[in-house]
Formats: sequence, structure tokens, C-alpha cells
Amino acid sequence: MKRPECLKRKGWGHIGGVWHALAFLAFAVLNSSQAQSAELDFTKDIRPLLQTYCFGCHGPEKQKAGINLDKFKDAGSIHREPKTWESVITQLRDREMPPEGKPQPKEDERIRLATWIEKTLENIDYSTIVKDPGRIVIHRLSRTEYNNTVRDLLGVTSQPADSFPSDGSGGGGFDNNADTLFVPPILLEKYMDAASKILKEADPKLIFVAKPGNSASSRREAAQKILDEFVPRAFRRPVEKPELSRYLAFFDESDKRGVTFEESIRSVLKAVLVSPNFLFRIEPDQPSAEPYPIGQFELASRLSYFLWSSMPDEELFKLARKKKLRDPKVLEEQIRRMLLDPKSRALADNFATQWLGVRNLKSGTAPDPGKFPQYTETLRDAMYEEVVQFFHHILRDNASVLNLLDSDYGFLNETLAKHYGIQGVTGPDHRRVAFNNPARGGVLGMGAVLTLTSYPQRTSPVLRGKWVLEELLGKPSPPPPANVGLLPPDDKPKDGLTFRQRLEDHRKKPECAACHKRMDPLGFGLENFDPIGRWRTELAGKPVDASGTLVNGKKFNGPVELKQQLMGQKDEFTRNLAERMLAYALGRGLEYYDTPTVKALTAATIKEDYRSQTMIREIVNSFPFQYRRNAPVTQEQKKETSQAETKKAVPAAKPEPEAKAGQAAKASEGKKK
Amino acid sequence: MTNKRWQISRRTVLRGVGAALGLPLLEAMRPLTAHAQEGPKQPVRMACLYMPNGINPHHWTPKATGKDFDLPELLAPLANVKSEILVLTELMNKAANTGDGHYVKTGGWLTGTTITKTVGSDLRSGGVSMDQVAAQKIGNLTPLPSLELGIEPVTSGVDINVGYTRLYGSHISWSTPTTPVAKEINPQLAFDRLFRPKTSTEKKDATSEKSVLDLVMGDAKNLRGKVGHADQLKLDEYLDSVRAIEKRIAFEATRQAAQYNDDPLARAEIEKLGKRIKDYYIDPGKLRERGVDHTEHVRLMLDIMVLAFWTDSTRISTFMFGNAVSGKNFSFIPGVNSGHHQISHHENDKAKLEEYKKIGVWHLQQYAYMLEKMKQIKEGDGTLLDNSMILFGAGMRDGNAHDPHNLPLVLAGRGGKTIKTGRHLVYPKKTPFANLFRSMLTRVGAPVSSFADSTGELPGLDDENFGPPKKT
Repeated sequence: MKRPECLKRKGWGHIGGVWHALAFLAFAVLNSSQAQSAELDFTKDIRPLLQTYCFGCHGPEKQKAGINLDKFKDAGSIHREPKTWESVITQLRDREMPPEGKPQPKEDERIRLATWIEKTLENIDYSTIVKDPGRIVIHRLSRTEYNNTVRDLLGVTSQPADSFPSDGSGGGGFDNNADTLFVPPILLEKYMDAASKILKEADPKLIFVAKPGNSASSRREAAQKILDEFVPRAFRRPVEKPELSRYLAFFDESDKRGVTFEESIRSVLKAVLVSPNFLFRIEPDQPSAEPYPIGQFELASRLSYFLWSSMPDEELFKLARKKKLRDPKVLEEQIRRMLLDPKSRALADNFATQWLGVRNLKSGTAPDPGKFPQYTETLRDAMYEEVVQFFHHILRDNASVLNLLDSDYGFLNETLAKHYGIQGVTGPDHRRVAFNNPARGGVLGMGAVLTLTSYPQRTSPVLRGKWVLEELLGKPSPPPPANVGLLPPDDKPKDGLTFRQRLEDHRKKPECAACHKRMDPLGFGLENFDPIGRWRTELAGKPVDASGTLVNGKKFNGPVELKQQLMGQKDEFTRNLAERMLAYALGRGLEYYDTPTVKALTAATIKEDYRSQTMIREIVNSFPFQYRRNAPVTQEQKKETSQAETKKAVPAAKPEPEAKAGQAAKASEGKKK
Repeated sequence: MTNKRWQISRRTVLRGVGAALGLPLLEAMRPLTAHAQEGPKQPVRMACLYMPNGINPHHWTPKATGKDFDLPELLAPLANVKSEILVLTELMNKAANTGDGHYVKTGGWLTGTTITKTVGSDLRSGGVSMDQVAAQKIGNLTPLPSLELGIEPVTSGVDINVGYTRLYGSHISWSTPTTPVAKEINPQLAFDRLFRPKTSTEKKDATSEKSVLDLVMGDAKNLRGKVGHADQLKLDEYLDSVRAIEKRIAFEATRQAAQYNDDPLARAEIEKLGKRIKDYYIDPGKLRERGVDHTEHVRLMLDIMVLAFWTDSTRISTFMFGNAVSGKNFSFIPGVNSGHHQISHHENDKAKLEEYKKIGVWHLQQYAYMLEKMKQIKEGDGTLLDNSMILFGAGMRDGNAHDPHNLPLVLAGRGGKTIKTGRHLVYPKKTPFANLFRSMLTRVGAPVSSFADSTGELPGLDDENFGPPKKT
């Protein structure tokens, strides 16, 4: 049978997540030969295998999926691209490569190769090879960060950024990923409008800290006081005289035109709010080829945007001015203080909902309204709120992160409690509720998660299982091959088979089985929850079958036993959470050189009873959080700059040589002035 | 859905008022474009409408070629405008035949290139999209260089299965290979941006707006010297956007006297649309939540585009019916029970193909709605549609196979008397889609000598004798 195209191509895609999974995965089948692998020689024993089985598609001639294994000439060079090689291990282990129809390695060759790579990668001493804090491009405030920042700067709570175009995500999957925060013209238009509105709504006490007399000089004096106070807060750093004087000059112009003092101040402040100094979190380069610690004010911003998705408050500014922020004890105190502040809800609201995918509840596919009229906006919001409050509690109360896997309580309001079949909760406010049904505890019993992993008309054990693997354990599966199809949209029995039986039938196909036997059982364990997260014991007239067998052969029945099984992988879960949270904290995707950081903060968290604040403390104290480096400029980048500067960036298309290109360019130049 | 056609009476048109519609604006623009070649011709507009998840391949391609072509079920909604369209068969985006099922076929739809596989750190579409190539060349002739519209917000997160940021699936327009152009999805905001009359305070503010922009531009230039290379590119992006607003403000200043908004006919339509948008937001029946008014949302966005073209607010536009892998629940269509992406994997099941087809038909109905409107707007000696090129298509053919061969494509409008419509054109297999881009760019006034994998302009658009390739 022809191997599905897309498996061939896409098997390489999930390297990021595989990366850490391996460190913990019992590689049972390969263990027997580990002893001998140490003595194997790359040139003599390993490279020939690669040559025979891999180079055909990933060598000098062809580089399918951009992978060329031929360029690794010795064992040491493997260290340079650990992600690629982690992927090779997975491909070998899952028997995804070499693809069917190509010469297959003998079983012992397969094992020898995989074990050697694994061993070699495990033995990398990262601390001696790389010490790289990574590079984060100047970070445009995300919509949420903009809203929170104007709230804390000017007391404006109308969330003006809600009308901005939504931010895409990248890196760890979060919308605070600096690389993917763009500044298109439409956004700048909105900044202009928003700034005007914000200044109308702003609390005047926060702006007008000085009142002018009647003379021009007293107006100027007052303006200076106002700007001295406001601009450094808006730019989140000290602002020097020459910089301030430009703003003061702007005030003078306006004042000369006879505009009222208040109006003049507002138009200066409008410029402040549209300035790149406000809209971007700027971290200037230092003249150093080596990584260097970021400044105190930059650290204050990193901290506040991590924990609050907002600007630093006066206490953080004060500590930055006193240069005390780098003191680990001070930092620990500040973390505790900041998490106890209600503003820390932002971390739950932004990090947890994006990590778990719950944010998509509000924009993604909704349950079919005909089949589930109960699923109203009110219920949906209550589900969402449960996730936020649960996570926020774990942060605030320094609880164990394992509560996310399983717990005996949740945060419900009346709507949600009724939905879950729990009595005695009244009113719209969520509060802590103890569960009698142990199936409910943890994120797997949450309506939000159960709904978002269902299709509009039925549950999907596949989607749910996939979600557990990807989001909780950080072990993504390759995408389904083309042409193998999906199942029907509903869960009605067909041809005498229940939906589950048909799914099991479907995954008998060998190209499907490899992944489905990992995913589906996890989803079967959640079959007691319907597509909108209600408890059920019957499905289409038959008792729900929520039993499953995991790949390791362990059997379980129902959500409670499933969660017990997952608890067996609590360290994998913790590492996945650490990785996601680090990516969120940094605003960039993780690279292989972040591995030591991830390992260290995972270990520390485990050691301190999986406490949430330990993880956060370790992130804040980590090398990539406290350091930065300058980016080396590549040739390609140089080319790009010159293109951007000359405004002729049309690489895909060459303009007609003699056409009006020049004229058009001139015309647009003319108008710029 | 009530039928809300443009209410342009025959008498109005006969009076010739309609014929003069485009004029006030052109008048107003003259000082700015005096040095450009601006004949008596009406401007040519260009739009690309993208639908996600492909189409049911069994009901798209007409059996007959040339003029007497048939309309299979998917194209049947275009019956009223059959004489205004070209059905284009066997075009292909070769660069999209790699990567993954969806993202490259969306992010690279109008660039003709292969996107860089990344979760975000090295976002790169491979090229500038054809609409932005046009916008960079002729965008200076209109207040907005281009108008990007859509329905779904940027899909968040990265698709860790395939290792792509979902950003790629949420954008078809790229102003540089590394900068996707954001789309407006909110009808009210899109409308306000284009048509909301300025209040007197705002008019007064215009002077200070200019000085605000000058000041922040200075800030950005100062910062440029203090930051790293990648940071400078972000600041350049910022500077470009500042310049775009400056240009708009300049346009608005020159247009004070002869505002298109003062034209009674266009003004009436703008007001009518404004009211419909208000109605759309008053939603006591929770229609929006139920997806019932998805149709109205799409139509409002398309109407905004039509009005933007009519008033020459822009000549270039793109629209996304949905993002790649959109799971939009189309159960508001009778006989449809599924999410869009879900059903696109129909595994050749008859019932599923039927649902898949119905979702496709719905998309063509919206396209037809737009074309019929444009056909009713008189302009010069023809219609707005005559002076436009409205491309409808998808980045793949059969969603079940993620097949980028023989893309489903319809080009409507005569491109300013340069296209002979009303035909089904069949090209040799694997003819580059980019050849069509080049033909369109030439017609819109932004010719290029190469584009991605193009081998030339697409033949036959203006040749009534163009026949299918001879079988060898």
C-alpha cells in the first residue's frame, strides 16, 4: 500500500515537542542495546546506516522537508542541531522513516541507530557547549498588554485595544510572541484613534499633576512637570532631558496656536501614546559580543509583562531605580507580591487559556446550536472563567501544578454547577466548590476543555486524546495522512456498529494505528463527558464504554482511572508546563539552547512539591530571562534592510524594466514629504 | 436573508447620473496624479477572494469549454453573471505542492512561493503577495493603498503537528516576505475607517495629527540607532505605517471640496450600508452566536469592498471567507451538519460530499451577490464590474487530498475592456497560477516582468478564439 504523502512529509514537523518528551520516555525496546552503543563509532558504524537508509531523500541529492543528514560529518556536529536528531529518533522509533516502499533497516540496525543518537544527545553538556539567552526582537504590546498598560497608566478600563486586529501567535503558541507582533498601517490608525479616546477617558488626576497660572512661562513650567511625571511611566524607563525637550517643544507649538492648556497637553500625550517608545518594549543593544544582563528597568518590564501583562508599578520602578531588582531575594518577594495582586489574573487569563487552547472557545467552532441549545454564551463564559480562576488560584496560593491533572475541587458558578449536575451553588460568581464526583477534578473535567475538543455534534476521542498528548504532555502526534478520512459528524450507530466500534475499526489501518493507539484510548477515557462537558453514562441507548488500554499496556476504565494513569507521567507534564511558561515569559519560541533552563526549572519545581511559584521564580531567575545578546547580522538581513530602506521590497516580483515603476515611486516619495 | 439589492432605478441611470459617479473623486485626485498617465479611462480595480478548505471537485469544472460552457452545481449561483466571468481550469500553484495540507496553500496563495516552516521566529512567506505588489505600485493613487478584509480573527497558536504558526493560515496578503498584512473583520470598524464622516473636532484635529506623526516618526528614527538589526526592521514597519497615515491625511485634505461622500447616489448607498451594519449588531435573537447571520457578515464585508471600489477609496482588495483549516459550523445551511474543515475530509463518502458541495455553493452564492451588485453600478460607459477583476478561488482543489493541482478559480469582470468574459478556459496541466497574477497586475497598472514561477502572462483572457490545449 502506498504510504500517505503527508505522513512522509510532515513527520518532521513536531520536533519541538518531541524534544523533551524523549528525556523521560522509557525507550524499552532499545534499552537492551544501550550498553554497546557507547563504543560505536560515528564514521564507522553510524554514518553508513544513514547513507544506506536516509541520504536517498535527506542527503546531498535531495533534501526532503529541508533535512540534509549528510552535512553531519562527525559525532560532535550532531550537537549543533539536536532538534533534527531528536526527530530522527522519533521517526525511527515510530517506524515512520524510512517510508514504506523504501529499503528498511533491519531491526537491530534501527535500534543501533536510534540508541546511538539518543545516547549522544543525552550526553551533551549544554553548559559547556552553548550559553545563549536567545534574542527577542523589540516587543510590540499585544492587545491585552495595551489594554492593561493604559489601565495602569491612565486608569482607562474601556479596553480600547479590543477593536485592534487580533494578534497572531508564534513561538510557544502565545500571542505575546515578539516575532509575530506586527505593526500594519491599520493598527497605527487605530493607535491614533485609541490614543484620543483614552485621553478623553483618562483620570485627569493622573495626568494633570501641575496646574498652570496665566502666563506662558507658567504654562510651560506646568507642562514640563506633567511630562516629567508622565513620559517616564509611559516609556517605562527614565527619560533624559533632550528626549523630553522634543515633547516640550511640541507643547510650545500647540500653546502658541492658542489652544487651551488641557488640549495642548492631550495632544502631546497623544504623541507619547503613539510613540514607538510606548508601543514597543525596547531593549537597546549594548556594545558587547557576549550575552549581557538586561537593565534594571528592562527587567522590571519583563517581570510585569510576564506576571501582569502590564507595565511595572511604582514599587517595581522604585526597585529598578535603586538597582535592587536583580537580587534573588527581592525578586522572590516581588513575585509573591505580584501574584497576590489581582492583576496576576492576567497570567491565568493569557497564559493558561492560550496554553490549553481554551481561548478558541470564543472564536472557534461552536457546538451545534440545534443539538445543544443549552450551550449559551453565558455557559460558555462560565466554562472559560472556571479555567482562569482555577489556574489563578494555583498561582496565587502557590498550589501544586499537579492540581491541573487532578484535584477534588473546582471553581464554579450556578450556571456551571447546574451544567455539571452539582447542587447548592447559587449566583453568577465563581467560587471554590468541592467535587463529590472525582471524575470532575483537573482540567480534563472542565467543560471548556471537553467542549473545545469535541466536534459540533459529537465527542471526538481522537481530538481529546490528541489534546492530552499535545497540550498536557507535550507529545504532539504527526498529522493524519491524506485520504484516510475522518469519521461521520454525529455519533449515531451505523451498520450495527457503535461510534466507538467504528473508530476502532477505522484505526486498524496500519498507517493510522501508530498514532491512534496513543491518542484514542486517552479520549475513550473521557467518553463519560458529552460534547459540552455534561456527565453521561449512556450514549445512543447503550452504556458508555470509557475503558482503554494505553500503549504501555496498562488498562483503565473511566476518567478517574485515566487521571491516575496520567499522574504517572506527572514529571513529563511538569516539564511541558515549564517549557510553555518559559516561552510565554520570554515572548519567543524555545530553542535547543534553552534546554538546560527547562531542565533546571523542571527539576526545581519537582523538588519543591510541584509548587507553581517555584516554577515562576526559576523562570524569572533564569539566564534567558535576565540576559540578552545582540543579534548577529547575516548577509540576507543586510539585503533585507537595504530593500526596506529603498522601499523596493518586491523580491517575488520584478517590476517591468521600463514601466512606470520609477514614476510611481517618485510620486509616493513626493507625498511622503 | 432579505434581498437587499442596490436600489438604483433605471431612470437614474438613464439620466446619466450614474455615469458620472466616479468623476468627482477623479477630479479631486487630479493635482496629485497629474504626472501619472491618467487617461479618460476609469480605474481598474482588483480583488482576490479566498475560500478555505477547497471544494467538492466533482461539481466544479464545466464539461464544455469556450463560450457555451455549462455551470455545474457549484458554479450555478453565477448564472446571472455567467456572461461576466471566466472559469479558469488547470492552473496550479506549484510552490504549494509541499509543506503541509493548508498553511502553504493559504499563506502562499498570492505569493506563489513556499512559506518557511516555522512556529514564528522566522516567519517568511517567500515573497510579496500579488495584491501588495499592486498596492506598492499604484496604491499611491487612492487614500488606501489596499483594503484587507476577512471574517475570522487570526487563528491563535501554532499547529505543533505540522510545525507552522497558524498566522500563515490567517493571511493571504504580505507587504514584504516577512510581514503579513492584517485584515479587518469587524464590519463596523471597516465601515468607519472608510466612510464615517469626520466630526468637526476631528477635522480640526487633522493638523495636530500631522504633527503627532512627525514627532513619533522622529522617535522611531532616534530609536533605530540604538537597537539591533531585527529591531530596526520592526521600526521600519512602524515607520511605513506612519507614512501610510500621513498619505491618507494628505488625501483627505485635497478631497474636501469634491467629497465622494457628497455624491447623492454613493452617499445613499453608504448610509444604507451603515444602517445595515447597525442592524447587524443589534442581535436580540443571538443570531450571531448561532451562525445564522454568517451570511450577512460576509455580505457586509463584500458590500464594503464594493463601495470602496465605487468611491475609488482603494483599487486593491483581498477578502478571506475564513482562515485555513476553518472549522466554521455551516449547519445553518439545510442539509449541512458539520464544520467546514471536518467535512472537507469527506473520504469520498457520498453524504459527506453532498454537504461539502453545499458549503461550496454557499460561498459561490456570496460571490455572485457581490458580482451582481457591481454589475448594477454604472461607471463610464459600462459598469463597475466591467472595470474590475474579482478573483474567487481556493488554495487547493479537493480538501480531502489537499490537492493543489487544478485550482478552482473564477475571474469576474472585464478589467477595463481587456478581458473577454463569458467563457470557460482550459489550460495545459500545471499552468502556473502566477501567470494569471501577471495578467492581472498588467491590467491594474502594475506590470511585472516575473512573478514567482510565472512563465509569462496567461493567454486567452482577451482572445475569444482561445481553445483548450490540443491533446497530444
